[in-house]
Amino acid sequence: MKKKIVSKVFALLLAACTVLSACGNESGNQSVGQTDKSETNDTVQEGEEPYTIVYAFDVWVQQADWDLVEENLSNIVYDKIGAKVKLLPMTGANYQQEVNLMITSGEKLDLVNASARTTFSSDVTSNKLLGLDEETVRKYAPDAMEVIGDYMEATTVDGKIYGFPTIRDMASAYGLILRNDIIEKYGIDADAGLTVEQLDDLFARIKEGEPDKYVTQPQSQGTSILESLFKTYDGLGDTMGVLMDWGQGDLTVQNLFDTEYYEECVRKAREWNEKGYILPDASTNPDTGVAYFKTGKVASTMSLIHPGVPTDSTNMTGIPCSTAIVNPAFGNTQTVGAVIQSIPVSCKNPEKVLEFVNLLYSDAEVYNALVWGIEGTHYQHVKGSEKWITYPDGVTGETSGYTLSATYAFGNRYLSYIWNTDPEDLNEKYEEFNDNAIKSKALGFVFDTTPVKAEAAAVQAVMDEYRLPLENGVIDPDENLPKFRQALKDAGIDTVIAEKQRQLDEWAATK
Amino acid sequence: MKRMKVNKSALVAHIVLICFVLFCTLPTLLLVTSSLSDNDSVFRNGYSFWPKEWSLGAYRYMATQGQTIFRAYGISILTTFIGTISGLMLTAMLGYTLSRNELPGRKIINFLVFFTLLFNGGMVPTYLLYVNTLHVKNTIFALLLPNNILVNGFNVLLVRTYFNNNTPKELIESAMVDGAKEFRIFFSIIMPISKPILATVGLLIGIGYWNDWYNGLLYLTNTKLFSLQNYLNRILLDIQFMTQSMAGSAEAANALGKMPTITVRMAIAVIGILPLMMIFPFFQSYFARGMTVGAVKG
Amino acid sequence: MYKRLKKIKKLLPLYIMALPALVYLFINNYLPLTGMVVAFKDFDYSKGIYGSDWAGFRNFLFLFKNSVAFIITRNTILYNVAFIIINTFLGILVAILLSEVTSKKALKVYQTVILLPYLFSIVIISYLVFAFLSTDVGFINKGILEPLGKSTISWYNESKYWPIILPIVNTWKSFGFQATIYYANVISIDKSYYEAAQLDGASKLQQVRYITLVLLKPVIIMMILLAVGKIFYSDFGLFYQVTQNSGAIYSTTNTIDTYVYRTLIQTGDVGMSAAAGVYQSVVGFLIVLITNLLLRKISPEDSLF
Repeated sequence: MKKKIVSKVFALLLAACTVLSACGNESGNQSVGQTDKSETNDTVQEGEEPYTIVYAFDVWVQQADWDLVEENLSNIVYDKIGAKVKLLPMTGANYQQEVNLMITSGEKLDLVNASARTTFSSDVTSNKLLGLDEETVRKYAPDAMEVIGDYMEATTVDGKIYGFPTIRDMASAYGLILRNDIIEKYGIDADAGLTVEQLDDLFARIKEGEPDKYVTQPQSQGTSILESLFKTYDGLGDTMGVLMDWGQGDLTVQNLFDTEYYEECVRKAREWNEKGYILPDASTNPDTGVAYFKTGKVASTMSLIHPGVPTDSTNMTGIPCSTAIVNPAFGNTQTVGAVIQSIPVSCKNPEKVLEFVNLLYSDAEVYNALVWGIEGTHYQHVKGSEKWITYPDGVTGETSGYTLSATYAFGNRYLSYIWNTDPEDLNEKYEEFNDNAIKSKALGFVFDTTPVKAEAAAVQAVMDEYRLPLENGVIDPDENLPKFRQALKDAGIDTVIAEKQRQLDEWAATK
Repeated sequence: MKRMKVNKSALVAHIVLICFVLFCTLPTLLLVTSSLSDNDSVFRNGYSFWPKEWSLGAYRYMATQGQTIFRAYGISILTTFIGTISGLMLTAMLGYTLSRNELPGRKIINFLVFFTLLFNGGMVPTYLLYVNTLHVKNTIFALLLPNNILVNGFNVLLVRTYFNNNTPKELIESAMVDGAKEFRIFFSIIMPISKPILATVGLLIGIGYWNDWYNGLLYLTNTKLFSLQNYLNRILLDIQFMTQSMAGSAEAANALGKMPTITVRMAIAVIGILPLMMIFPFFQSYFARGMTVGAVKG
Repeated sequence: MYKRLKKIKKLLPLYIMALPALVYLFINNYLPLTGMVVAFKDFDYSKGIYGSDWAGFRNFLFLFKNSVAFIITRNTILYNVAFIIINTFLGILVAILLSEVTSKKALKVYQTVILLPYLFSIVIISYLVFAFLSTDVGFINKGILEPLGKSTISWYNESKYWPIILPIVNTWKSFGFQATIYYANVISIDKSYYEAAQLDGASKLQQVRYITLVLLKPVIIMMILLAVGKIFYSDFGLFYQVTQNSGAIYSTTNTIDTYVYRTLIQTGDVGMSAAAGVYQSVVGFLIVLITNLLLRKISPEDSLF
């Protein structure tokens, strides 16, 4: 009896083990191919079949026709470099996390979009991205290097190349998006730009003349007036220690929040807020920005500005508008690296991927197949124009299966067709905008927080608490600015700044 | 005299419960009416229980989001059904075992179960286990297995405590004297008299499965397997992300511009919860039945 | 010894019944536990969790580095204590009231409706709260205060209101869940106890006090003990989404989880976020161990393990 039970248990355990190990083996080399048809490619042995480049990037809205576009693109790329492409578009909210997990688990992934605005610096220090030497890149992606030129500095750390900034607006200007009817009514010379003094006057007039409208609002929930209008400093990534005056002076890292400039900005924001110019609760209202502008309830939006903004804003809000610049276009590591195409460490064939990247920077056919889709299905050329495109006959914005139009997200936007709501010379405008931008002396410097990460985290927490309310004029600067400054000191901002200065000097010495 | 007394306590119960019902329904009502409002009118007139301008715009927008939504309903129903039944079985069996005081090693197992409630290995190691070792990525198991929805230490302890308190030990003993085996005792004696707790835990597991979106977020890239809440939550998170995002703003805004944001957010909640509301009453007949059994039992 | 073996043999079917769930818990909860080592590592993607370099306790430093440490710990604990008290009280109250309802239809309505808020995701709840509290379009400001001629309140900038708002929101979301659990236990109480008590002339309140609450004691203790184990955790959505991440009210809304999220969002440091989790778990665990130890002394039958 006893024996019988023991043997039963044993048999059961054995069975369990076999089942488990069988599952393990079977799915081990087969991955999850059955459920996702497009993934079957991955499991095929390399060498027999062309290499498939898996490309993950973030998008705002998923498209119905990804499969079609992917197939079309893949065929084009295969003809040119003998590799297939698989697209892994993910929406923004969970992109970062999914990519991190995929890289950690070693899932097949060959190319990702990173950003210097978010985690590029820690991506580099934690070895998430592959650092390539210049020789390799020059060999496999010569055109990309050529097109990007000096901007490559933004993604080069300690002599290794960690990615390719896409060519788009490489700098940011700051100013107002204004309704055209407001511009007319108040006689604003939008093209000439506005000064802060002019704004004081203008806001007062709009407040007087438009009782049913708020005068202005920041760009979105969680953005401050400082960041969307007054910005004249190079934040060097995390704003803990900055270079003032667009980084044009010497390379002395300063505490932004201790400067007079900061105090003035904060007081101006407070003044505007108290005069009732700004949408109430702007920093915490989830609809701040486009949603409000669209309803016609605000007269203007403080915003980052580049040549595409006027048409974009008009298209998305249905309200004709123009832009007036307050602070001129300015480029630093973060604006140049807003989108970076990088190869993650888990990539098995970087050379092939480099060839693909090269195509995105040099081959209009590849670029446009990714950005605009398939000719005849998703777009067609406007008659008599090489650049202008529009919807094919019978297709509208609602019925089209591919309206990605993310010209900023891949390769070289100078290769792009132009949607016919934009001026035909939009690319030239972008080029002009980029060429004329002020460039920070520290463009290319990437701060590594690792040596001071406890302090940096603590400082970040303090900034989160005070910055937005102060910079949007929600709380009283007389009372809170001194508190903020003290809290920063207590959290160790000086340690962070000293470390940043050390790294910056080191970086400058190697240049 | 006695009747009067009973009525009085029932009356008090009704009055207080109606207060709680209002507490729950009023905000929900605001949610439903704002989902049926005209988006611009909310901006102009504010949220209200009786909108000035009614509109189906939000639902129309959701409908244009495609046929996927019906498929997603199907996936949700399937996983909720399979998950709830198997989860309930596993939970009940473990909970019952732990309620048997004579069982050697009971305290240790108890502790091991409790331990799972406080400690976890974190997202990354869990992901590695499920993706690299168990290969659940892009399979239906991704919606069923991870994240303790199937068996949750909390539910196990709940069942254990219930069995501990409410199972008459004499019933088990007399069944054993009659020669019944443990399995039989559990399935034909214990289970039937424990409907209140089984219905409750079943409900909790069911809600867990129906409302889960996290597993899909981590383990699914194949949209064909998205459950309803995966799908709705992605839209919701994307709206939130877009409205808060500053980088690449124009493109984000482009997507946002097409969407009646305020009302869509509310409509998403309504679409996700409506089916649950409809099946609830069926579930609850078990509570009622459990009550009579409870009364008879003594 | 032999006797013991025999006993185990006799109870073997019970072990087999327990096995599937235990196997699941082992795989799902225990296998990934080894990953906790990442809290003590400088995480490096190219080396993986186990291959990364050791960092000692460096990843934990940021939790204690500045003056916020006190505030976030205080907020986390106080809110949790408030939630535990309110939830337990209301849960039991509503469960008992429900058990007094004899009309089946009314019962169904009550039960369904009180569980309704539990079904909403926290993101939705944050929008719903905003619908009430927004300065520009919120119901309270636009629908109540303005018509009454009162000045509007900027809820998201006034920290003093949130110690009341957050418990209300939390109660709204979770009291139905608590009540449902207690209800299952209340209706299973042997009715003969009440009949006997009625014969002795006990009032309703006395019956509740001496029968219902006494018999619910094990469940109540278990529920509270489990909640106490999580006392260093906070519902991230409640404190981050519902407050719209408003900096002006951090003094009353910042908790350990929101702090960790905010500080690490820029760097995405895997080691530091793991460290925070380890810290929360270990402290909660110690508190429960101590409570359980005391419980074993006072009333051994109610101890959790």
